[in-house]
Amino acid sequence: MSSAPRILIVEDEPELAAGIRENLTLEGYEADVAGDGETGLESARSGAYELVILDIMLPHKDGYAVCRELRQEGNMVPVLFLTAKGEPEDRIRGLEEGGDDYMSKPFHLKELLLRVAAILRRSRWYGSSTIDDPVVRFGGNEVDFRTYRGRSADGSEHELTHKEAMILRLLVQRQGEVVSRDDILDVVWGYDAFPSSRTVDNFILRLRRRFERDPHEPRHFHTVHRVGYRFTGD
Amino acid sequence: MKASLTSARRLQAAFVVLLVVCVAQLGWWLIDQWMYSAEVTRRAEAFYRQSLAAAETLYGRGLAAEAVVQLFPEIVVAPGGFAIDPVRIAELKDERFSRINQYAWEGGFFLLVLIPTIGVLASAVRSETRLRRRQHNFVTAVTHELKSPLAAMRLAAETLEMRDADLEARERLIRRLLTSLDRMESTVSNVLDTARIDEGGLPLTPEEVDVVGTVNELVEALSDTVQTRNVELRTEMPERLHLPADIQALNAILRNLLDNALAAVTGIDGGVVVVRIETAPGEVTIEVRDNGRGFDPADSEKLFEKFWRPGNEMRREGRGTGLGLYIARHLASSSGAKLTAHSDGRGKGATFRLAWPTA
Repeated sequence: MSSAPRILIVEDEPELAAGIRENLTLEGYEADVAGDGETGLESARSGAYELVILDIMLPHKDGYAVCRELRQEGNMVPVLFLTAKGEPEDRIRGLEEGGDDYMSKPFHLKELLLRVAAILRRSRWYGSSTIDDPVVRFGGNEVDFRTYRGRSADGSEHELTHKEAMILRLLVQRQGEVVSRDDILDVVWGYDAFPSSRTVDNFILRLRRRFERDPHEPRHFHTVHRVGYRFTGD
Repeated sequence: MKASLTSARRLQAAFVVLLVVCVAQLGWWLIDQWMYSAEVTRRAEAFYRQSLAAAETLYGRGLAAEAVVQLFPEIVVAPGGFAIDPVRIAELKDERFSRINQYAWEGGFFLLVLIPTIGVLASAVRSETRLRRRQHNFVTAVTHELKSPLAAMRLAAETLEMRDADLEARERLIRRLLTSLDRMESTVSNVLDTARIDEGGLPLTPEEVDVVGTVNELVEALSDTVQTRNVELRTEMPERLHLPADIQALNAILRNLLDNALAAVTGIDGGVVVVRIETAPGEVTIEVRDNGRGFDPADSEKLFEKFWRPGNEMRREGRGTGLGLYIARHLASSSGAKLTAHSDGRGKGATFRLAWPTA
C-alpha cells in the first residue's frame, strides 16, 4: 500500500477523463480510464484500485448499477461519484448504492483533489488499522473487519456496511474514550457528504440493534449526552 | 416525472375498469331482460291455461262453443274441444324476442361507441406519457450536454491556472477547452433552432451556396475535436460545387450530421468519418459515413424524431440531446431535400444520405 495509489476513472467524456487523469498523475497517483460502465466494472473488479471515480450516466451500464454490483460482490473499493446529476435525490441515491462521496459537474479541480486525498486517507486508515487487529470480540459478539462479517451473541450472522465497519473500527480503536459525533463524521465521511450528525446517531442505532442484547439498555455503545459515544468491550 | 407516469397509468387502469363495468352492466341487463321476459311469457301462458280450463268448464255446463269463444278471445275451437289461440302464443314469443333484440342492438351500439372512444383516449394518454418521458430524457440530456463540456472547460482552465504547464501541455489544454466550447455552442444552437422550428419554422432564403467550401469550413472547425478524440475525418468531394440552398440551413444540417458521426466514433479505436459528395442529373448526394456505433435498422426513421436518443436517461448509449437529427431532417424537408439514415446494425457504423435537388 505504500506505492502510489491507483485510481480508476470511469467516464465517457474523453476530454474530461483525460483532464482528470492528467491532474491525478501530476498529484502522484496512477490513474486509468474506462469509457463505459461495463469496462469500468470489469476493471474495478480486478482489485488493483484504491479508488474509483465513477460517472453515473454511462454507456452500457449506469454508474449506480456498477457501484451496486461491486458492493453485492463484497468489493468495498471506495467510490466517488462524479456526475452531471446534481439533485439531492441523485446524491442520496448514490450514497445509498454504496458510494463514499458525491460531487456534481462542473466541479472545482482543487476540491476534487482534496476529496480524493481524503477518501484515500480514510480508506488507508481503515486498511492499516485492520492489519494489526482484524477481529474484535466483545460481549459474545465477533466482527471481522476484513470481511465485514459479524456474529452476535445470539448466534445470528451480520454483514456490515462499509460505514458501519468504519464507525465500529474507530470506536474500538478508541475504546473507553468519548468519541464526538464530529470526529466520527470527519474520519468516516469526511467533508460534507452528509449534512447532519443525526446520521451518526442512526448508524449507532444500527450497531446497537446488531450487537446489543437489549438495544435500549446498551452495554457497549454508550451515548454521552450532547457529545458523542463511548465504546466499552467486555 | 414519476408522478405523471403513475397518474397516466392510473388513468389507463380507470379506462379498463370503465370498460369492464360497462360490458358487465350490459351483460347483466341482457340476462335480466331474458329472465324477465321469460317470466312474463310464463305468466301469460298460465293465464291462458286458466282461461282454457274455464272455457272447458262453461262448455261442459252447456254454454254454446261460440259463446264461450266470445267470452275468451284467446281461446279457439279445436278438433275435440278448445285450445289456446296459436296466434296469441306466437305473439307472446315475438314480443319477447323483439324486446331482447332491442336491448341487444342498443347495447351493441353503446359498446360500439364506447370501445373506440376509450381506445382513442387511452392512446392519447399513452402518447402523451411517451412524449413526457422523452421530454424528461431531453431535459436530462441537455443538462448533461451542457454540464459535461462546462466541467471539461473548467477543468482545463483550472489546470492552466494551477499547473506550471509547458507549451505542449498548454496547447493541449487550450484545444480541449475549444472542443468543449464547440460542443456547448452546438447544443445551444440546436435548442434555439428547435424552439424556432416549433414556433413556425426557420425562414429559408435559397441562394447559390459553395457546398465544398461549407464542408471544408466545418471540417476545419472540427479539427480540435478530431484531434482530441483521436479520430479521422476525411472528405471525398469535387473541387467546386454550387447548390441552390439556404446557407444557414445547409450549414446546420451538415454540422449536425458531422456532430452525430463524430459522437458515434468517439471512444472507438480507428474511428473514421467520411464526407462524400457525388453529383447526378438533377441532384447532389452528400453522404456522411462512419464506422462507429451504428443503430438498429428498425430505428432508421425513429432517430429523426424529436428527443429520440438511444438508451435511456441513465444509460447514455450516445451523446446528444436528440435534437440534431430532428433539426437536420426538418431543414432538409423544408429545402426540398431528402435525408435518410442507414445502418447494418449496432456497432456496424452508419451512413446518412442527403439528396439535394439541383433544379
